[in-house]
Amino acid sequence: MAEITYREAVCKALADEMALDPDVVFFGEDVAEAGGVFKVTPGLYERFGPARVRDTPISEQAIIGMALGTAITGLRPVAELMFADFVPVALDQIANQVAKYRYMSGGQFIVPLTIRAAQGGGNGFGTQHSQCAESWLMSFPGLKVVSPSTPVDMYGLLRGAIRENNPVVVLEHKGLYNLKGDVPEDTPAMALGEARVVRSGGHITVVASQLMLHRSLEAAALLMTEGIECEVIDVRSFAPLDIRTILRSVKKTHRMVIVEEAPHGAGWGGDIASLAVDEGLFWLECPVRRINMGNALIAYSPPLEDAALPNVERICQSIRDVMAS
Amino acid sequence: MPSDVVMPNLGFDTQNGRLIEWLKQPGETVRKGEALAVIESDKANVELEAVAAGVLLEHIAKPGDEVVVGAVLARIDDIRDQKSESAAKPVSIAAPGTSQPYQRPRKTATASAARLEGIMPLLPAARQKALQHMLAIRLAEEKIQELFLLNLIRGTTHLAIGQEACAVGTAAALRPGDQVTCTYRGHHHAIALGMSLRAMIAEMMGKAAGACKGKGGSMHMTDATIGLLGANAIVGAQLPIALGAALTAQIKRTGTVAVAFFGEGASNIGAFHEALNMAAVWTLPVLFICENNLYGEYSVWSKTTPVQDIAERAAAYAMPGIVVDGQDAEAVYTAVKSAGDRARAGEGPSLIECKTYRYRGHSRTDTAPYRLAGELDAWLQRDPIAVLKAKMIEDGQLDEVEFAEMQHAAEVAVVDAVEWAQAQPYPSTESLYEDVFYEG
Repeated sequence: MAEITYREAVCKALADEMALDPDVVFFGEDVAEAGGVFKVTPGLYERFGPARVRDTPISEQAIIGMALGTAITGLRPVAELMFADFVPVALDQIANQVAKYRYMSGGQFIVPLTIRAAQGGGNGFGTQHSQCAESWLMSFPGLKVVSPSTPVDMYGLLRGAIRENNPVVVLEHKGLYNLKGDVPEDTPAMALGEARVVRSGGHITVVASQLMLHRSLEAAALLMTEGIECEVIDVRSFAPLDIRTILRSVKKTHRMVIVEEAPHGAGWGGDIASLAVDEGLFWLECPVRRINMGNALIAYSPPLEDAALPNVERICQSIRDVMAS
Repeated sequence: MPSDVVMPNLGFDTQNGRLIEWLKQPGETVRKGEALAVIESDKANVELEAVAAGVLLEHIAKPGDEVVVGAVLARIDDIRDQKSESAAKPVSIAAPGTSQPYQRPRKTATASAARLEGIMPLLPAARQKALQHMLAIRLAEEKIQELFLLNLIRGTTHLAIGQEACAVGTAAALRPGDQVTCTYRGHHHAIALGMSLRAMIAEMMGKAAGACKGKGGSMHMTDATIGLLGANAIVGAQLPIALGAALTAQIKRTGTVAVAFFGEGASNIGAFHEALNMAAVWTLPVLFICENNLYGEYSVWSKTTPVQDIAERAAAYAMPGIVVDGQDAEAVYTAVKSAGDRARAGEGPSLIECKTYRYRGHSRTDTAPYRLAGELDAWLQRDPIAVLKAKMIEDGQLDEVEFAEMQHAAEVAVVDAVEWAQAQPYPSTESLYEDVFYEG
């Protein structure tokens, strides 16, 4: 067993795929010689050279458009957007081009393109450097979206994304870069599109991702001492969404809370709640509860940012409320 | 046989309009394409065009009538059947004048960009092909207009009549394996690159046999087998995509180049500047070819753009920028060939600005009332087909009989494509969910 960080898992996945496939190229802002602003990709430039590992100008539209152009002409690009908050800067290319290119050409191309972006709050980056992008990206059929929460998932899902012949956005949570975990040497590329039951329990289903998953696991451990058994599910893949795994759990627990690091409006939790109601209404004993940022924006000041993001205490209290209802 | 003049689909959600006035009365002779009536829609007042040449037989709708899409508004006695019109001269071409293309005066005086010096003539066979393609483009575009008026093509179309030389001149300079992205005004690029007319017309009709299985339509014409990576309906988005094709060429050392066509309006969007900058920084084999047709939708470019020439903008990205006569296919060829040789030699990108003109409005609902008086006529003096035809006649490579034969062959091919496309089935609704993802 090799224990590495979530950050190292990203770099190892990239390096292993680049070593296996000469068509894999990697570019983004400050990713090559500097090794990434979060020091995620050091050594790739030195190992694979300036043709395959490139620093770009600060040009998000061109980065994504160029990645698309390489993907449809025979390369297997990985493009980095430094912060997921920059997704809207490149949204034309992501939404109108990347997601639709195969479709509107009637299937003339495959688009083996991976976009990596660092997302999430909790680190004082302020309003425009702290957002999560899943809900923005789920509106574009043709695009896959995954959000790994652990080093082993980061490694396996990123390798799976790079091998995928469809465009995939891999969202990395900045607050998890230092998280350590076992990534066995023989960890394979993972299939996209599967949620994972991280903790089993019979009383209530807790659906979460990334930072909120780890906070939900803390909450589940605390609630265990109160006799509440939570089944915690890591969404992992937002598009496609693995609703089967979630419904199986709801069928068992009859209760569900969804913990999102995002505003309430058009959030992914709403999709899961509506699917649970559509397909599992009669298994539910009480309303589905969404725990999220409401209409809050992420502010810079520590107490304000803490108040915006769901924390362990809020998650515990919501679960207690649902159990009491 | 009389032809029905029907209420065209004006695009958007417009299902009806109001007949304002008739411009032609029963008994009057009308030319094909001539305005017959004015119709008010929720977007603009548009002119109803004659679908055929002939004598206007009768008005069926009256001024003030609400008219729905598809309704018959008038009938024309089609004299095409009497072989008196279209077979003899389906393309109206003025003799090439010597005057420079008409230019509006600029508000701001800036240094102008370099002009192309010296034109490299195409070889006789290449001239023949360029002329054939220009005729095919002209006739196909006119037919597309007609199909739109008959509601056989829906949504919108953007015709490139007048801009044919930009496409064929470029195509003549490209090699197999080169790749092209272009704009929603891109039918001419597709034909110049050798796209099947049948697959193209079928695509515009939304048929299963269309180039994109009916999922793209007029604005997304794509044929990977000829290097056409796609026409794009988002202004400027195709430039970064061409950058990617060029990066693949550079990394895989294919010796090919990528071309991005765009209009002068796209030079004001961010993607243009990002693409030119990155192409220059990485010395990518990409050619940025601007078809400056003077109007970005309904706005004359002098109102939106402070430079004298779009090619000037190349200087900001340390690449060559050159202005060429976009009505002369050989001028375009010369510039693209030279820029292509440079790119293939690893010397990086170039910006080529073709000064050209679209004879029609921006799209189907635009009658181009913003043109200056005499502007269109001035440009018609430099019609791209006439320019090349005259050179070939002067060099003894063509005579009027041969030209008429070429026209006829092009017309036959267009008619064949339309008939074939009309006979094709629509896609099954199950195909709605196909090709969203690659499965496998």
